[in-house]
Amino acid sequence: MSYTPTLIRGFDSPKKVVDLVPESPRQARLSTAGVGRHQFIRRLSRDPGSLSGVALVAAWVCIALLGPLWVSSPTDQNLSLTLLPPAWLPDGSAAHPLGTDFLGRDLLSRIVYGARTSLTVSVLAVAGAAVVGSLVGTVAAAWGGLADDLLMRVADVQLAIPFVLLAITVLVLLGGSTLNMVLVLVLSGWVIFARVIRSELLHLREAEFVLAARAVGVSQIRVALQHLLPNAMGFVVVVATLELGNVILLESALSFIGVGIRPPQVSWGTMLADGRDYLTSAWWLTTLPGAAVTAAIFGVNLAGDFLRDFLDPRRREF
Amino acid sequence: MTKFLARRLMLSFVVLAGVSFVSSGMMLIAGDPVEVMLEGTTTSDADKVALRHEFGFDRPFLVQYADFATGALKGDLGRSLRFHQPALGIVMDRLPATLRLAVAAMLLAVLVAVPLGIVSASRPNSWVDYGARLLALIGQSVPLYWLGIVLVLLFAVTLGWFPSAGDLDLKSIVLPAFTLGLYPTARIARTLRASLLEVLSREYILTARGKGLSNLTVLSRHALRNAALPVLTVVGLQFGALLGGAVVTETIFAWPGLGLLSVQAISWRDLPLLRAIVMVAAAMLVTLNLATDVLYAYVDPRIRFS
Repeated sequence: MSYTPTLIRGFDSPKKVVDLVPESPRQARLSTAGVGRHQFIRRLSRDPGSLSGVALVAAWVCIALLGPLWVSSPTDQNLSLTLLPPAWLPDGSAAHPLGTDFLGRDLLSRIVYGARTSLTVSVLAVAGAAVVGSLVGTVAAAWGGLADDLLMRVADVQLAIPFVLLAITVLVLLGGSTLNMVLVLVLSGWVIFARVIRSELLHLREAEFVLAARAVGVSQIRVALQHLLPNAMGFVVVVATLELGNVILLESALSFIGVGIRPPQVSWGTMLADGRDYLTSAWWLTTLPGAAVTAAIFGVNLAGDFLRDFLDPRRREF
Repeated sequence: MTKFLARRLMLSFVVLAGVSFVSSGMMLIAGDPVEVMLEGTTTSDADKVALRHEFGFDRPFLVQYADFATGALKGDLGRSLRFHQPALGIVMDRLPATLRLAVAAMLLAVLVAVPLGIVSASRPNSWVDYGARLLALIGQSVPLYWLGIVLVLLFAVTLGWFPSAGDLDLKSIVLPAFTLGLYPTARIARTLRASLLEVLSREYILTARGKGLSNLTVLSRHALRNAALPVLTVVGLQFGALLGGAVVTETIFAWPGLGLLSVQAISWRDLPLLRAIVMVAAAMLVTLNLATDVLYAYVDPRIRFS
């Protein structure tokens, strides 16, 4: 006679079992996010500083996306109209509102295309770093022990190598291109994501919903990706925004040194480097691209600060 | 404490070993160092073979790495391909300039940021506070290479107050130190403000005020000390970043430090020299982190025993 455990028959299928696992706080997070949408807009509209940051970011995105519809090609040369000053100065021309460079190329159009390059590279790089870093952080927090130790030591090693040196070396050896630039920036960016995500998830390792999921035999990978990782998504967003400013800065600095984006592709950093030779005769060639970089980073930082305060008041810096 | 210290020392050693392995691995990925350096020249194959043999590049990677690692333990970081001299000596010649610049930048940052943070936190949401915050945020957003150029244009070219490049006299350090110090200034001011605001909302501050102590006494004797710890962390981290991050500033101002040397090493394709620079920079950073940790554990016993 065979014994059938009728009482727990309902648990036979693995699907059922999983249903009994207490829901991870992800659900709670998502619902507060739903309620928070109103709050988000209300808080933002009451805070002129943050609002102007968000507006600045939105403006740059629009310029990068739509600007090329209005401006001429950034590589069109006109050697009879070199070093033309901006339109508001004597000798300026309305055809070139921000003047021209030493090859007679329109500065406004170059700044617009520079925004395209800068935003594309930095968004891709931050996205890549977020994916790699979040995975590493989640794995380290979920597995713990040797895997955790090993991954965090790799992060320490990465942090101990001066990044600019590493980036220059890699770019010189591999050659500067958009792809290599993104790769180098991902290499620099993943550590911060990994560390933040890991420290946020560490205390959840022993949380009830995780223990319950483990107890009923949910695989380690599923626990990590479905139960742990979603709890850190808010932090991923915050770190990503704050990192975006850094990455824009690094991209322009590397291009400025001459190892990053190569012509004919336009980058704010290379524009600045080119303009350096005309520092005394044509100040707009360095000042205006520099102001563009600063404005972009300024906007991203303002928006990032707001997002951090909104999603994570504990970490408030301001 | 001894156990804590031993563990931290072990970790630092592991990190440095990791850095040495990664930087040696980078050389392997880059290809034959001799070929990398002499690319495009008309050096004969026999000379290349001789050079390769002299530096031991004809041996397997692991043998080369073991050789480098045992050497590094004894303070030998290999030889520069370009100068045929011990790389460590070349690096050490340049180190003082970098240290000088980093210390000057950090001093400047602390001297400006601490009053800024205090004023900002003691009158939150006043126009002084808004001004300080705006200043700090701008300081965090300005690319330092651009700042360097603008400063040169203004103070060296137009006004002629300071030299635009090099390390000639005392005045030469002003512009690079200012350029390098702006970002840490912003970070320290922001951290101090946040930390002070948090401390000022505590109950013991209310008690101190209730006793009738003046604003100044409350701030200097009760609040500042407790708000100092996060600021110390930022100072430590930023100082580390200054040591490794001066590449751009040193290039702009032709400041004869490690940053400029590393850019030169890259342009000479002198990979062994570059590896030595990376090792020294990493060692400084790791030592600095260790010092911060120990200081922390000293100040806060909870860390020692966890």
